Amino acid sequence: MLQRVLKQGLDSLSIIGLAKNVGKTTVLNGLVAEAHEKEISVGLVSIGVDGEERDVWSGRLKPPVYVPAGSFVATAGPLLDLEGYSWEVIAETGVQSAVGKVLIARALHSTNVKLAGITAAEDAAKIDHQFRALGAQLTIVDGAYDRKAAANPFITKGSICVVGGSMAPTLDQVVEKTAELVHLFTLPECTDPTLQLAAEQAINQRQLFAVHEGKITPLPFSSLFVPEKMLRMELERKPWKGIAIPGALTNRSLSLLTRIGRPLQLVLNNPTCNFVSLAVLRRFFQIGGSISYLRRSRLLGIAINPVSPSGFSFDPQEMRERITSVCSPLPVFDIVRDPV
Amino acid sequence: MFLDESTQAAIYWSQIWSRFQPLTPMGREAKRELLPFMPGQETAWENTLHEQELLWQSEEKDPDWGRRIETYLRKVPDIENVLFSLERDEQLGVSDWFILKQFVWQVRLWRKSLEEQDLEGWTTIKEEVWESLLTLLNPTPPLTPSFYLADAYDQRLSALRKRLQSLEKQIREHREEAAKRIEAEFGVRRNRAGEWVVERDREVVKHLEADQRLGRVRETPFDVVFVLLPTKVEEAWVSEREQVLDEIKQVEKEVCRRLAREVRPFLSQLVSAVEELTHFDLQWARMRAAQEWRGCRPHLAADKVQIRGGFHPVIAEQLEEKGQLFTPLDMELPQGTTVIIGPNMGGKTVALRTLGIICALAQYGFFVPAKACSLPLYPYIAGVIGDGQDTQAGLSTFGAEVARLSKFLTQEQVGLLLLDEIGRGTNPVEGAALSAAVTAYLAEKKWWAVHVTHYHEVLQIPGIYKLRTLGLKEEELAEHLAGGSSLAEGLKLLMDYRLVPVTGQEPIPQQALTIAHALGLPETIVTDARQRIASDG
Repeated sequence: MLQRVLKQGLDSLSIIGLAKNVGKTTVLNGLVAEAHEKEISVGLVSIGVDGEERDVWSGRLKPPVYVPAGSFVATAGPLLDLEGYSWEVIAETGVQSAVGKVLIARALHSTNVKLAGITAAEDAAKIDHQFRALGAQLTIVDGAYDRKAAANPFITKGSICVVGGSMAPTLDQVVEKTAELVHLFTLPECTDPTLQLAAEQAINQRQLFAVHEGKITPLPFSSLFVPEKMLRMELERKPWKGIAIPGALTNRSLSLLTRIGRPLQLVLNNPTCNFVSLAVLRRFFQIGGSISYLRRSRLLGIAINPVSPSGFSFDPQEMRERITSVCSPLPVFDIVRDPV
Repeated sequence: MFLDESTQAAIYWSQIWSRFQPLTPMGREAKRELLPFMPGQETAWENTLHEQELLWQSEEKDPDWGRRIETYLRKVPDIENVLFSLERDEQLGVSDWFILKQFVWQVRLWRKSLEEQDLEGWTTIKEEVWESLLTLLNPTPPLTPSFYLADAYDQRLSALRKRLQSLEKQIREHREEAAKRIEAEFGVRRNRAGEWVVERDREVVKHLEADQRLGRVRETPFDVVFVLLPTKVEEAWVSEREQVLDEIKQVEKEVCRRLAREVRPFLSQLVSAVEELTHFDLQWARMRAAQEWRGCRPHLAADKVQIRGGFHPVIAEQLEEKGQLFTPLDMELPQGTTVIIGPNMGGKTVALRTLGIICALAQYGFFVPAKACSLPLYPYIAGVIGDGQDTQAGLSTFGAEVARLSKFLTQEQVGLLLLDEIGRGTNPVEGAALSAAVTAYLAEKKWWAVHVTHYHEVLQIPGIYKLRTLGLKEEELAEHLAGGSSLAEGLKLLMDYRLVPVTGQEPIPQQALTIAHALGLPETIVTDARQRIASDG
């Protein structure tokens, strides 16, 4: 897996999970060990809920992360103090968390640590720069509780998604959820320069912008959460070619646009803003609409974990085959069974 | 309260205050609690201004030096918690020592930069103190700003760490060899976690289960998971490793305790350094803010306020955005009551806001937005100033203003009162009477007040100082309009906002009629209005 990341010239990646306990930490530890074997120095940071000692959902203790000698981490000072002799504390990050100041440290020898204290995307991006300045070759962001947010292309250049037995009671549902994510993540990047410009403006000014005959016009909304009548009125003013949306796109909003019936080209910031289901997406496409992103996150692969922490397991072979069928040509690997 | 909320809003205090940006966490904390200089603190006030003058000179001479200073200030951490723990003899961890070392590192660089400009008087802590502290926090060369538990702290550390590493290597290699033997024997391969996950129905499961070297950790409906069980030798190593780790932790504790003992004698110097740095940070931030408005140093004057070329940075910027210029404020206010009279839109309220912001900034120890300025220190500054556009807001505004005014007039101490058109919220007859009566009361009690009004009755009160805004240049406006230009344009160009003393019996400004005429009101109505004023007068 790491080989693939490096071959693409990426220097940062995130690990995202579609549910609690899917096995993200196992994947993280595996990647870190692999990087260590290849003598690639890594910087590790987790983005999640502040002070999250236990998994919010299941109440299980969150496992510490394995850190080989020479690796960098960003975590709250008191968590470093637990194994103080293992660390050279190098820099402040300027982030103050509920657990304490978030500091950057280098492991003097292999050790374990809990990563905590970072909740905002901008902070994770800043820490990525600090890691780089210190000489880390690869930043790995563990997308804790927040799930998809760590895949924000603003933070990391690529993502690995972990899907597992804890996501849903049936394999059908797991496959469907995975297909949805893969589909949303692999929608194209916007190539129309006018729409790109409109999207930049939409994001900067937190307002919707519409494009007609090469001209960009602001719409009087900051999101699509507006009464249908108002939206319909604005959309019918001109035969708009496309609309740039600053925030999230939900099933409700996309259904509304589908009902209004305009074959619009929608531009979103990035895939983490897209929350629509495949069924709703399909209907929008049927009326001639399309969706693209200003910045695409690259999905590098899917890690599967057939086992759920409650002991239940899907048939690993079947799971791998079915997941592969919905996400090909992305590589799929089994974090439990694949040999090193 | 020196500046109450309404006064702050009236003089756009928060917009100005947000330009005052200390760079250290301690400076930001101190900003929240910063008090103005009060009457009686004139010497401290003068010192504050003098210090900024010196800083400003150094910064101007060498802007690169200024940027360096700011880099150090930005990196100084808050060590309050560390000092607190040191004082109470609490256990400190490596992250605490790192924070302290960062502080020492940055403050030392700051001090060295001060030396470059002969400004080392800002701190009483000598280089030797910082050197001693760095030696404690950095026992092995090279000198770096990071912190770790160096082997030099305790002679046992090096040996323990070596033992730990060699044990870990032994355990790893031992397990690796054993795992390889298993894999060779049974043809199975490990996953990333070092486990063998084997499909239940495979023949090999039976053999793996029977093997003494392996343990079955869990199973799913599809797989059985095996791990390598530790051998007796490995168990001994693991237990020794635990012991070594415990010893390291014990040594770490001892080192931290010893370090605390050695650092504690510097506690009072560290506390002083925090105070000195905070003071410097505030002064630097004051200077930076004043540089934005090209401020001048205010001087002390016991009995009058004198401002030359004053302006309000916020209003000036708003005008600039519209392509207009702020007319500099020249003003002299002797102790007592001053009345400013002038036409609507003539800049009276702006003059009041500008006076307010200049006096308030001066008392907080800032250089002020003016060419020259002298003033006394007041116990408070209070404004009864509407937003200038709400003259029709009615009795609620009137009531609120009167209530505010009453509150100030019943105070013992005399502060600076800024009054904007008292009485305008009610009918003209009562309004004018009230305006005049308030002014008379202030004049008699020798209040330090500035009252902006357009009720000419107020000018009749004895013992007041009178200023007027110059207002519209009427003849030029007529020409301007005859030339086909718009009224709005004409008003913008030809309104003279300057203040001049009222010398004799200038005619009451009647420019509302001029404006009404220019806006197209029939000549006969305007003439009639002028006649009515003449006969009333």
